[in-house]
Amino acid sequence: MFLSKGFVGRRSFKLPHYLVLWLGLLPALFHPCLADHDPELEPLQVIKPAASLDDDKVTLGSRLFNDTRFSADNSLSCASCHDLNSNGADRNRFSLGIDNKPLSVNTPTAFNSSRNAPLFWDGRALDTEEQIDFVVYSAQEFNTDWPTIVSKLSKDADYLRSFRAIYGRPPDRNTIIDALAEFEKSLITPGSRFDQYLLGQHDILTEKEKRGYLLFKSYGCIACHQGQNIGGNMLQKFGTFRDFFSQRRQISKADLGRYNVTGEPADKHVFRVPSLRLVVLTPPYFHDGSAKTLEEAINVMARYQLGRKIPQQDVDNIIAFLHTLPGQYKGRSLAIDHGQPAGDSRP
Amino acid sequence: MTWRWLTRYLLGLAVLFSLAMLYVNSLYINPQQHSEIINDFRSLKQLSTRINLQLLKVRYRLVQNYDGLVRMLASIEHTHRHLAAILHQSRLSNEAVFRQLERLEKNYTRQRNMLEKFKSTTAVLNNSLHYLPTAAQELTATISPLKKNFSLIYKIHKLERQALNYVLTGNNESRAQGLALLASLADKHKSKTGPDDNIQNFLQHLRLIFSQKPIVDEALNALLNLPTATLINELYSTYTEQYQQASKQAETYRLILYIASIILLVDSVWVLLNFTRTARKLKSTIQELHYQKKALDQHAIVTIADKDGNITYVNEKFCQISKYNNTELLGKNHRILNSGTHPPDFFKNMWQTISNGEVWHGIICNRNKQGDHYWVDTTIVPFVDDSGEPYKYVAVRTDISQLKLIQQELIQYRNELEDRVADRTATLQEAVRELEAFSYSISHDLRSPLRAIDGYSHILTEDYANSLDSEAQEYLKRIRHNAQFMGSLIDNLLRLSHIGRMKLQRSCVNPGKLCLQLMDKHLDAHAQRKIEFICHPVPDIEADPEQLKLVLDNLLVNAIKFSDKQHPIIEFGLDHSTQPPAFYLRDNGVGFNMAYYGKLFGIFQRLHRVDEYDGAGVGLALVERIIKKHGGKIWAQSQEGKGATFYFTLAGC
Repeated sequence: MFLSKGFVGRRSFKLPHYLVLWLGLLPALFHPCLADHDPELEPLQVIKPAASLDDDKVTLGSRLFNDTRFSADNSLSCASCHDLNSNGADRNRFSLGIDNKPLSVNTPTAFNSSRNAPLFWDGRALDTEEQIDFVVYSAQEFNTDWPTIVSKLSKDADYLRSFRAIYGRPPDRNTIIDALAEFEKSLITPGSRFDQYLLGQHDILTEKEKRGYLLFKSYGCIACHQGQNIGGNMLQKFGTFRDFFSQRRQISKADLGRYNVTGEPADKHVFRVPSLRLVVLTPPYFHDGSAKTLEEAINVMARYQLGRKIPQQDVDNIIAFLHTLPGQYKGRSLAIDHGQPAGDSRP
Repeated sequence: MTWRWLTRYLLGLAVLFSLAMLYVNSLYINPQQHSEIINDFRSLKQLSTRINLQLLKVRYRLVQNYDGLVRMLASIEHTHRHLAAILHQSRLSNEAVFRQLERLEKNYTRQRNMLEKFKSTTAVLNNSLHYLPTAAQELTATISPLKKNFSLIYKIHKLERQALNYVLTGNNESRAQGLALLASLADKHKSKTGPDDNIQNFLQHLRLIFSQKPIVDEALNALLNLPTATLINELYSTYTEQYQQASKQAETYRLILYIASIILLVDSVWVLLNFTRTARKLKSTIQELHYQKKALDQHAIVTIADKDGNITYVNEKFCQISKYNNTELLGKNHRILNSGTHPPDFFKNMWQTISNGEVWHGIICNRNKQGDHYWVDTTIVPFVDDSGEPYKYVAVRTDISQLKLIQQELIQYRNELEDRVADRTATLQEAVRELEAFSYSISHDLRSPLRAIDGYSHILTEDYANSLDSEAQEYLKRIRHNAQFMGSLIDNLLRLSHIGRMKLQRSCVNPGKLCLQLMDKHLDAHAQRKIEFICHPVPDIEADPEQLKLVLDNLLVNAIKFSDKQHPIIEFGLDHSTQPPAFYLRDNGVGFNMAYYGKLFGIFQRLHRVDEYDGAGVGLALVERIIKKHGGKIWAQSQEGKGATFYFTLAGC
């Protein structure tokens, strides 16, 4: 109809308008029909490094990421909780916030976090920009405000020079966030063995690992843990089949999840599905760090999310598969911390 | 002239004003901003379509991850934020735009939340769908075929098919059949242990599929039915309308600007032409001036000085006369030419005149390089600026040294001449005085021998009358008569010389009245002759009354003496035909021959015989002397036998 209207009508500017629409739609219409084996149709996707990053901004962002002047008492930087030398998070159940008081949720890794949406366990931030705002104003975290941070950073001649060179003006909220966001975009761990498998090197995975992948799909884990980050891009209720929190003696505010954001009863215990990219490196698990090992976490997931029991052998296979997921940062494989928590077994 | 400038200024103002308005309007229609806005609109429209397509793909598992959705959502978020920011900046945005923008934002918030719900519910459904084949396989594996449970296996597979069918097609028949089968199976296998537990587990997922599918579809439909496209179109058309309105307005200003520019251009061309014409005129004027200067330089000595009198220009003539060369003079003060001839006041006066902006003219004696003096007739013209202050002086001089020399010589000659004249006059005056003294003394001294001759002759006649014969007595009579005549001659001479020495004592007197007085006396004396005397009224004059009386008396005596013996007529009056008017006295007597006019006023000269008319011949000489003393003139006209007319003037009439 649009086509005929466009061609017959010959109405001045409407022709290109609809043509553009149709040209945009055509590949999209035909694409899925052609691509039965398109890798894009796989539930899991290869994670690729961010395209066209501004190196100067990344360098500046890296400095900011490690700058303790962000917190009110100059004690904490982003890196205090998100230690990039290990796994982009820390090993504690709860990281220590300002005044060394533990936070209410477990710290997720900063690696690949720029590919997550929404952000935070309760999904309260749409993107990195909002996420940084929350951390800055959080009473448990930086407990400060932008004017304070900007005035502190403006006293640093190096910063002034860098900001002027990059943005043409001294640091302010927008430029600081932009630099940090750019840096976070660089925190990607591509080149994992699993990604190479997805790219066609089928023999790079062991049989056990391949078996683990199949189980991961067939048990339905893949329904939520999908995409390039193997999760991280949606919200889901913790306890689809059974009430996970029913056995708890005490339910903390953090346990209410997204309900704290929307206030809707349906959002109680709804959390952002975490990415499993670095899952083998970032115990303990869940928003409250209640699962100390992968095995424990998988069993909880099977019981409460999938509504079934997974045999130990399958659990092992899945764990083996999960170990193929971490890639490299700055050309270096992310190592598992030597102080391995108990139960974190490797295939 | 003024109105043209006025219109030009007004035009300029109009152009400036239109420019300003155009600028203000161009803020409304920032093309880059506009293209960004249009781009955002297009992107948002595309994305709203693409995200719907992606939703369908996800729903029907053509795409099994949410990365695409998340990316699109981020794109929408980003584009929408960008659009909102620009629209908030744009001056085109009005209340309607903001209102629609807000509605669009609310729509996107809803979309975001609904999308999260869709993802969650779809994941739950997909979880069971993923697991269903495995669950079915595991379940059938546990059911021993030996127990002839084929129907159960069949039912399990049928249920699985029905569920998949329902999920993909939404076939309600499949749903009804599936749910019925599910219910019957659930009834049969209620036990919580053994195979029943597996069946229950399987059924639980099935149930979830049947119940979750409508929820997912509802979420999907809600998303697909979002009025995103409509809202975008509404906002787009509102914005476009504003844009077109603004651009139309800007078009008007641009038109005004075009018109004004064209007029301005025409005006500029006209001005330019005028300039060219003026330049040409200026050039010819300059050339003419150049020639004039050349002509001036040929004739005159020209220098130009600044306001302090320092020389800034000299022409060749000046160098020639001053013997200085060009470079020696430039920058020097005019004082180097001062000869010292003139007193300081002379130059002070000159400076006062020219510094007041007035032209000074005068003759100056200057000194040249070698110390010689030269004279120049100088005119100094000050050039004044707008405030009337002189800023330079142009001096034009003519060399008059030669003239000055001649003039000096002339003065010298004149002085010499005057001296000589004075000398001679003095000698002459002395001679005259001596002559007068001599004549006086002669006449005076002559009287006593004459008196003696007369006296002794008389005594002789008286005392010796008897002793003398008549002839002797006749001789004695003649001696006495001649002696008496000589005595009267001497008297007259004395009178004449006396008159010559007398000082004039002028007062106001009327010659007419004087004539009448004198005539009365004579008429008495000549009563028998019946003389007719006509006296015309004449104005008063300034003269010595006694001397004037002498003049008139002499003339009257002459007139009476020589007038017609029968019917004498004497007339006195003022003749206005001469210049100056002259008094006249006319008679109708014998007159005289004009051939002897030269002798008329001579002393002792007579034009008639003594025996005819008596008289000493001194009267008219006396008259002439008195008239001349008065600075006047006397002359006469006559014809023999037809009377004579004497005219005289008196200076001071």
